[in-house]
Amino acid sequence: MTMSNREPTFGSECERFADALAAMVDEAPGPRERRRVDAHLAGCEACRELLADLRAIRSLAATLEPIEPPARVWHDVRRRIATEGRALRMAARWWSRWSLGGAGPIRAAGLRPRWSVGGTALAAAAVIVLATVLVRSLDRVPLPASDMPGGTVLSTPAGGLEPFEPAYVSAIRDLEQLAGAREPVLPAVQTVLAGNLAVVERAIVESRSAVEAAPGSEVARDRLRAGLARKLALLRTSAALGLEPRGRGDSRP
Amino acid sequence: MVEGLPTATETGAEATTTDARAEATFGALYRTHARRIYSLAYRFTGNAADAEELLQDIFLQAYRKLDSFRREAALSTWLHRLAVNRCLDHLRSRAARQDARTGSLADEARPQPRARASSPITRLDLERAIAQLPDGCRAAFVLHDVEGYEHQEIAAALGIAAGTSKSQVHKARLRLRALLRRT
Repeated sequence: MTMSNREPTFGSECERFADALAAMVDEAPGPRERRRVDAHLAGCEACRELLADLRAIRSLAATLEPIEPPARVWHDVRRRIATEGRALRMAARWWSRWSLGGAGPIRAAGLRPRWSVGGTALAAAAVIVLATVLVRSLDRVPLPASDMPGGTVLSTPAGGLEPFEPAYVSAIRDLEQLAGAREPVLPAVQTVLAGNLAVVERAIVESRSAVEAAPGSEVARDRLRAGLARKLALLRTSAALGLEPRGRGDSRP
Repeated sequence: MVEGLPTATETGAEATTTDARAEATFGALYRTHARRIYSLAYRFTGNAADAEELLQDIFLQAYRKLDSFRREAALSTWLHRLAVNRCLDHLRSRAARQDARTGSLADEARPQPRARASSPITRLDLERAIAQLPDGCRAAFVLHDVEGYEHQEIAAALGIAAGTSKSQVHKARLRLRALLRRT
């Protein structure tokens, strides 16, 4: 595509043909309109150039090549999928077994296979425990850096989480309020949850592996922030999905 | 071990198998569509950093919503719509954060100063010029002239009239012409 450098000037009539020229870039006008525009174009170099340029831009735009994304995007996507996949699968299994009475003690005790007060409190407790484990493990788990050159294992920079902790405190407070609106959690339920903490903690460690950078670098902090945000979203989603739908409006007998 | 909860061994084994399968499947989906979606995101946003973030978000959304995919449309169509919607959301939120760049288009209708003689315009020139367009007309231009959507489809996606879409595309072309002439 070439754009000429000569400087034809638009005449006083050109304005009347502006809409027609715009339309002609995409579609052919009717015969009558065509004659009218052609008559103008025959005597107006500026409009001929304009039309040619606009058509050339459209043609060139249609031939633009796809752009290759950096490989790191897929690495990030894969890591996040792996983390979310495991966490969500675990949550789904956990919820289904306990809320729908798959094989758990609630079912075995002859209780209704739906979220009762105990089940709701249990779910709330799970969310709180998840949040607690998350915060604690974030404070002590080293950062694997398998994708880093040399495979260096990074430690969390001291104090590196402080800027993000307020968000966690706020989230946990919200979740505690959610739980506080329901019945107290049974001690047996807490025991059950404690038995599952190891599995949850592993998921958290894997989430931490998404953070790749040298201690103190902005990149590390950004990635850490993103990881924390994802975990918060997961906690909130668990609370919303696990508590609200079953806690009210369930009309099953 | 408490009944009803997966054991660590059970969960680990299952996760390994399922994750490997999911990753392989999703990896194939990514390899097939990532370039097109990244290109869309790049041209929508005008910068690589935002495009990378969008690409990542779009595929994570796709992963989360795969269960809701109904085979009424091709997977590529479904994915591309998801991408367009996410890109539009991004533009809207960006517009909310900062005033969208607006400029008078009157000057584009007038002859522009010419810096040099006949200028061969390359795709790279055009890519750079597209990145300088205001968000509104860039979205319409990319969807119409680059991606090949019809004005009716663009109008529905952007929540505007089809005539407005035509107008936005034309404004974009005029502005691109002015930008390319300065190249």
